[in-house]
Amino acid sequence: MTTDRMPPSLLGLGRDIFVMHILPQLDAKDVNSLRQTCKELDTLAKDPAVWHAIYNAMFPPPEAMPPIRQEGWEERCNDRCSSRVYAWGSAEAGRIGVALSDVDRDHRGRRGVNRPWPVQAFSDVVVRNIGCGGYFTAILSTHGEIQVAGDFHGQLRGVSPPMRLKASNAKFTAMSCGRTFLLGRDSTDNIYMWLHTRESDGVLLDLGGLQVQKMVAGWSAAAVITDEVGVAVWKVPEVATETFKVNYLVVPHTGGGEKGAGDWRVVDVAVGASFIAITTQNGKLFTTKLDFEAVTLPAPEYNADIHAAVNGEGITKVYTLLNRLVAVTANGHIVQTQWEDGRFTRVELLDLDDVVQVAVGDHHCLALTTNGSIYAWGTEPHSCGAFGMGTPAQIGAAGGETRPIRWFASDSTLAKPTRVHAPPMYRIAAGGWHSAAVGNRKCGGQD
Amino acid sequence: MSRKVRLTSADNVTYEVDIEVAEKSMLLKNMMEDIGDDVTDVPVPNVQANVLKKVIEYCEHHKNDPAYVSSDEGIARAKATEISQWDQKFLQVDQEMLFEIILTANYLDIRPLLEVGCRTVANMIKNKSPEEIRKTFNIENDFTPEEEAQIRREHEWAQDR
Repeated sequence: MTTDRMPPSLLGLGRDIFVMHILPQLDAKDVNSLRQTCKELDTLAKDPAVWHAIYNAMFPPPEAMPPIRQEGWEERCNDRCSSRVYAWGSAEAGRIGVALSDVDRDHRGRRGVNRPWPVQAFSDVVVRNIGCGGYFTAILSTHGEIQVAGDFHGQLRGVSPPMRLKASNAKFTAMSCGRTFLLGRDSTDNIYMWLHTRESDGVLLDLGGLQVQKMVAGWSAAAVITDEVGVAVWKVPEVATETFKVNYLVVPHTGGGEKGAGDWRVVDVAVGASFIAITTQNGKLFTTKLDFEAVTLPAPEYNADIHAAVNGEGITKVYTLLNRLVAVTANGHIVQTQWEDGRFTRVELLDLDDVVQVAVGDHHCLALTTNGSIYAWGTEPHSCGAFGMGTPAQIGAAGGETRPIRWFASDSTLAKPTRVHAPPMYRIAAGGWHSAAVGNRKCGGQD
Repeated sequence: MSRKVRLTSADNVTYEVDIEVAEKSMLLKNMMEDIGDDVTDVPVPNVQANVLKKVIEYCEHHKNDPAYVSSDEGIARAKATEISQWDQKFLQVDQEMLFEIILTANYLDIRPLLEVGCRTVANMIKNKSPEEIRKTFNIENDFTPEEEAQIRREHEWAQDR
C-alpha cells in the first residue's frame, strides 16, 4: 500500500482476501454469478480451496464422500447439489413421503418399501441434513427450510405433501429429530421445538441465554452443548406454547474448569431413554444415568469396557435411541452396547471400517462409510423394509435370520452390519421402522 | 488508568489510544511486545489517517470483546449473514472506504474486523445476477459474448442451489 495508489476496488482486495474470506461465505450459485462478471473473478473462482470451503460450509461434516468423480471440489459440489432423498421402510402415516402404490413392485413388500426409493416430495430443494423420528422424515435444505413428511405422532392418513415448518420467519441452520418432536435452530441462534403437529409454529426455547454449540434431540429428552455450563439436558414437555422456559439439568464436570475445557471439552452428546453419553475432545466416552426427578445428575463415568473394545482408539461420535448406544472412533470403527438395569452390557466391536455416520432407529441401525456405502443391522420388524435389503428371503440370503410372526409378515434380524444395495449416499437417518438418506442422483435408483 | 500509546498514520496524523485498543491488532500487539514496556509511539506507515481513525473507532468499541477464536466451520457459516447492529452501522460507508477498512484489517491482523468487512462484501454479492454484480462494483465485462454464453452453460447446475 502506498500513498499515491489507485482507490481500492473489489478486485483490488487481492487473491488471498477473496479466496479465504469472501468466496467461502457465498453459495455455489453466488460464486457462479460472480465468476460470470469478468475474467479475473472467473480465475479466482476456479481455486480448489474455494470449492472445498464452499462444500464444507454448505454441507458440514460428518458426510460421506463417494468417489463418483475424481475431478475436484467444484465437481463434487455440483454432484452434491444435485443429490436427492431416498427413503425406505414402513410407508404408514406418510412417514417417508412415499405412497406404497407409487413404488415399483421389486422395491416393495406388503408392509413397506423394502429397497431405497427416491422421494419426489423433497426434490425441489438441496438437502443439507436429513433426520427421522418415530413417524416422520425431516430435511433441512441449504436455503434453511425444514420440511417434514409424516407427523410427530403417526396420526396422518395416507401420504400428504411434506410441510415446511414455521417459526417467526426463521431461516434454519441446524435440525435434530427426536422420537416425537423436532428441534430447529435459526440463523440468530434461537432454538425452536415442534411437539404435536407440524402445522403449528415452533415453540421458542428459553435457555436463559446459553450459547449453544450443538443440540441433540433424543427419545423423550433433549440436550445442548453450551459454552457456559457444558452439557444441559431436559425432559421434553407434554405441552408447550409460544415460549418454553427450559428447566435443564447440567451434566457435572462438563462446563469448563479442569474438566470440560481444552482436551476435556465435550464434542458430541447422545440422549438415550434413561442415559446420556458424551465424548470429549481427547476421544473419551463418558455416560451418566438420566433421572429427571433428581436435583442433580450423577457425575459421568468413564466407560473402560467400550474403550477396551476399540483397543483404546479415540471415540469421536456417539449415537443412540432408547437403549442402544453406538460409538464411532477417530479411525471409523464402531462399537455397540446396550443399556440394561442402569449399566452398559453386551459391548461389541462391529466388523466395519471407515464409518463416517451412524443412524439408530427403534429396532434397526444403519452405518455410512466414507465412500457412501450403507450397512444395516439389528431387527427389521414385520417385514417393514427398514433394512432396505428386500424381502425376508433376500435378507435371509444376505445372512439374516427370519422369524414369521403372522401369515403376512416376519421379523428379520441381522447380527452383523450388512451391505445395502443403494446409490452412493452422503448422509443417513433411521427412525421407527423406516430409514432415509441423501444420495447421488446420477447413479440412479438401483445399484 | 490504562496505558496509552500514540499511533501515527502514513500522512502523519497521531491518535492517542488505550493500549488494549491498539492490541486488537495482532500486528501492533506483537510489535509492541517486541519493543517492550516503555513503548509510547507506534508508526502505522501503510495506513492513511481517515482509515486509521475508522479502524480505531472499531477497536475502541470492541476492546472488551473476548479474544478472537476461529470457530467451527459449520457454525461460522451459519452465522455468516449475521452482523451486529453496531458493526452494520459502522460499515455503512462508501465502497472505497469499505475496501480500505478490509485491506487495513488484513494488514494490521484484526481478524474480527476483516471477517465482518468481508461478510459485508459477501452480502453485497449474494442473490445477484452477474449483471447486477457488475453494476454494484463497477466491474467491466471483458468476456466476448461467446465466452459469456459458454461460462453460463458450464455453471447452470448451480442455479437455485
